[in-house]
Order: sequence, then structure tokens, then C-alpha cells
Amino acid sequence: MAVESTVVTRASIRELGAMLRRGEVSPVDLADDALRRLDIDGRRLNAVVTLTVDRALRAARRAEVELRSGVDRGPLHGIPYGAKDLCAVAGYPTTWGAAPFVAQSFPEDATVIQRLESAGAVLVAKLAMVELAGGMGYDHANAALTGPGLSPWNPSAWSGGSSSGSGSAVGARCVPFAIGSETHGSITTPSAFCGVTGLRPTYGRVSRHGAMALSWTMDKLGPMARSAEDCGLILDAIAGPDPADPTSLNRVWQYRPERGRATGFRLGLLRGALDGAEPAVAANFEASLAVLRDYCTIEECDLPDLPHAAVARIIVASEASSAFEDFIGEGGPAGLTCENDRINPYAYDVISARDYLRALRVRRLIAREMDALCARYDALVTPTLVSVAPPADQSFATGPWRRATLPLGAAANVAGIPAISVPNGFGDRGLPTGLCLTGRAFEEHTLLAIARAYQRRTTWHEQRPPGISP
Amino acid sequence: MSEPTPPPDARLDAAMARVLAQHGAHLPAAAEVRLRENVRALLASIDALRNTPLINADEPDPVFRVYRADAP
Repeated sequence: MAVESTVVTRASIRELGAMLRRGEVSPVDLADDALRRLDIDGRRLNAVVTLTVDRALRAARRAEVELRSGVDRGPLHGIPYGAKDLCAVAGYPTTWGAAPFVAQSFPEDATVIQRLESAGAVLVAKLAMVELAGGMGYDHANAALTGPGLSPWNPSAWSGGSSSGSGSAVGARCVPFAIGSETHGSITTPSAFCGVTGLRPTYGRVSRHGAMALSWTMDKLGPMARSAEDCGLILDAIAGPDPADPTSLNRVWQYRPERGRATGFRLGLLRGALDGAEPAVAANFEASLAVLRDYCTIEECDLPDLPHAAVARIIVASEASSAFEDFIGEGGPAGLTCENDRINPYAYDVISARDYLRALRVRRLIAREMDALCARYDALVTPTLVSVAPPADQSFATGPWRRATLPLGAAANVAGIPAISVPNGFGDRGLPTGLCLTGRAFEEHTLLAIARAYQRRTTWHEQRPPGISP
Repeated sequence: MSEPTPPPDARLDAAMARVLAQHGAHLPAAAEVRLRENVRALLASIDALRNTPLINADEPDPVFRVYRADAP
């Protein structure tokens, strides 16, 4: 490789693309470097389930030939990435992060993998995750086939979940980007805890075909990367209608950053967003607001008074207990790693059909109220979480981490609206904190524009963790 | 006329009994305390939903669409 490996770990997707096209690095160089980093740092952080070495090198060699001969598939051509191990990849196990499914495989790639393949991206790894994406009720970082996901910033801390490996691998600069999934916090949480930028798209924006179903009406796939700009490029490749997923939106989405505004945004600051926040989280958020005021107007607003968390809990529990009905009925949870995951799924039986339908009816109220609120602003602004990552060896069901999540997370996931989390500083134990922007349905462009403008004014997203491989 | 709501503990006991009847074989006795906490949390969520007023016209978002293989 003509450029130093550390240069590669700092580069954006567009910069890597320019290096590839100038011949300073090759797709094989990038794949080799990513595989080496994943094998060292990725495994140290429990971020890797499977390195897809053969597939990666085949795809990288193909990209090398294509780029040399003038075939250009776009910005992701030749760029290595990892995918959360709930995305099916033909020829490799798809474990869903859970010991009982360690030998599971599928004959075809998930749609998101197919789309990235078409865009020329190079899959190098299937990344660790909380077992069954956290749908069984985990309360400990040990809820994973590969061991507790660890933060690249402090390996005694949890990486967040359920897209643990996606957060750690991007945060440790092993890969430029990864695919994560979110049902309720699973992209935004590890993004904040690992110091990366994560975009949760509108429900239906990205096909779920070939991805593990936890909650059919709440699952979303999305990018986790080094910047908002990179997230936009990735979403461009993976978004769009898919006949194989009847819940995919019938809308084409193309990344057109040049058409967007760079200033003049109107933000809603949720009253109470800092309730219970750690001092450093609060201080970083206030500092972020000062940056945002440079190009946005900010006014206080209130979250609708509805049972957001209860609706999210009942919908996820109902749909997960149906999606995993046979597994639960046959005593499968006994093979899971986290103690609560071995017990909690049986409790789901107390939810009646009428309770589930009531949750769906209240959900509609939430969706309308959230849309009315979001329509007044370009985005709602909050900390992503009110604490830094908890220690990886303690339950987070008790203690100061119990209330780390904000009510907005439940409301937004129930409503299916998009959000982006960007790094905005550091707190206790050297761990990163996050700034979250939540927008109206289909407004990913607006969220990306606000986040890009924030990242032009700050350098938090460019920081590299100490101790990663040279 | 609807039936009176039983006292909270009786409702919790009944829910626990139902879960244990269905899945008790998969659960060690030591799990019962934690299971009870989890059932209690779910019942609290259900109560939160029941305390949200709804009218007859408040329908869930449709999750079923009529199917015809040759539809355009």
C-alpha cells in the first residue's frame, strides 16, 4: 500500500475513493488492512463473528480489475465494510448473535448485502451483536455469542447494543462503515458509546429482506460510519423499494448533498432532555447547542404525553414472541448467554391479542402527535443518551445506567421516524457522548444536512481511540 | 358490565400461574423471582396502555393488505 495504514483509518469514503482511483491504494490493500485490523482490534473488542476472507478477497480483486478498466460503480466501489450478523450472507453462518443459531446459514444474501455488492462495496466481516438483537430482554453486556461488546475508547466499557460489533469495528477504525439495525435504540446507542455516526432511517426506507425479524413493524437497517457524509453515501446504495419486503417504502432515495441547505435550520429542543444526565453529557450537549446556534434557531418544545415506552415494549415483546414462537416454546432460550434472556421471553405470554392491538392503536396516536411536533422543526435535538457506556461486567438494569435512554427514543421508534447520532465529546472514563437529531418521516436529507454542518464545525467524529493498531 | 379488576397481586399471581403452566418445564425454580419482576413490568406497560383513552374510530395502522397474485 503506497499510503500508510493510519491514513486509511482517518479517511472518509470519498477520500478513500479518490485514493483508489489515483492508484495510491487498491481494493485488495483496503480489504487486507481491514481484515488485519478486525483480526486484532476487532476480536479484542469482541466485535467479530466471522471474517469473510474468501468473499472479501474475491470482491476486492474484482473491484480492482473494474476500477482499472474504467468500470466505476460509485463511491462505495472497493470500500470494505462489515455487516451485523443478522444479515444473511450466502456461504457463511448467520448466527443472529446467539449460541443456539451458531450453525445457521441461508442460501442467499439479504437485500442490503446484495445492494452493497452491486455498489462494489467489499464485505469483510459479519459483526457481533446482542443475541437475537436484544429482543429477549437482555440486561447485561454478556448477552452475546462472542462475549460482551467492548468500546474501542475504553475496553472495560460496553460498546452498546444491539449493533455492538458494528459500533466497535467502525469506532476502532477497522472498517470505514458497517450495517447495523435498530428496533429500539440499536443503532443510536452503539453509535454514541463507540464515538461513530449512525443513521436510523425511516421505517421501510431500507429493505429488511434477509435480515432477522425481531419486530416486523419496528425493525430498521441503517449505516454506521465515520461521518454524516459517509452515512448519506451508504444510504444511497441501500435504500429503495424491494418486492421481497412488502414493508419497504415505494420511494427512491438518492443522496444529493449539494441540493440541501447548509444553514437556517429550525430545531426543537425537548424540555427535560437533560433530566438525569451525567454532568459531562450535559456539558457536551450545551457545547453542541452553542455550535448548532451558529446555523440553526433553537426553541424549546415538549414531547407528547403518551405511553411511548409501554407501546414500544408491548409491540416488540408481542412480535418477538411470535417471530420466535417455536424457539421459545421448545425451551430454546436456555441456550442463550444472558440470564434474563433465558427467563424473560416466557413472560411475553401475559400479553393478550387485545393488548397488542391496543398498543397498535395507541401507536397511531403517537405517530400523529410526533408528526405534528416534527413538522414544526427540521429536527428535534437531544443527547443520544444521558450517560456514557456502562461497565461491560455489570448489569445495566440497575444503577445509574438504568435510565440512560430518553423517552424520545421510544416515541421515535414507535413512530418509525429517522434519527442520526453524531459524536459530540467525551465524558467519564474517556468514553464518547452523542448528539441526536430526530426528524420527520422521510427527512433523512435534512438530518444529514444538519449533521454535516455540525461536523464541518467540530472534530469529534475525526478522533481515533487510543490503543488501536498502527 | 365489565368484571372488576382484581387487586394487583392477585392479577400478577394469576399471570405467573399462566406462564408457569405453559413454560414451567423450561424454567428452573430459581428463575421465578426474576420472571415475576418481568411479568410485573409487562403488566405495568399494559396498564399504561389501558390508561390511554381511545375512541371507537382509533384503529391500528393496517397490517394486512388484500392479496392478488396478478395485481398490478
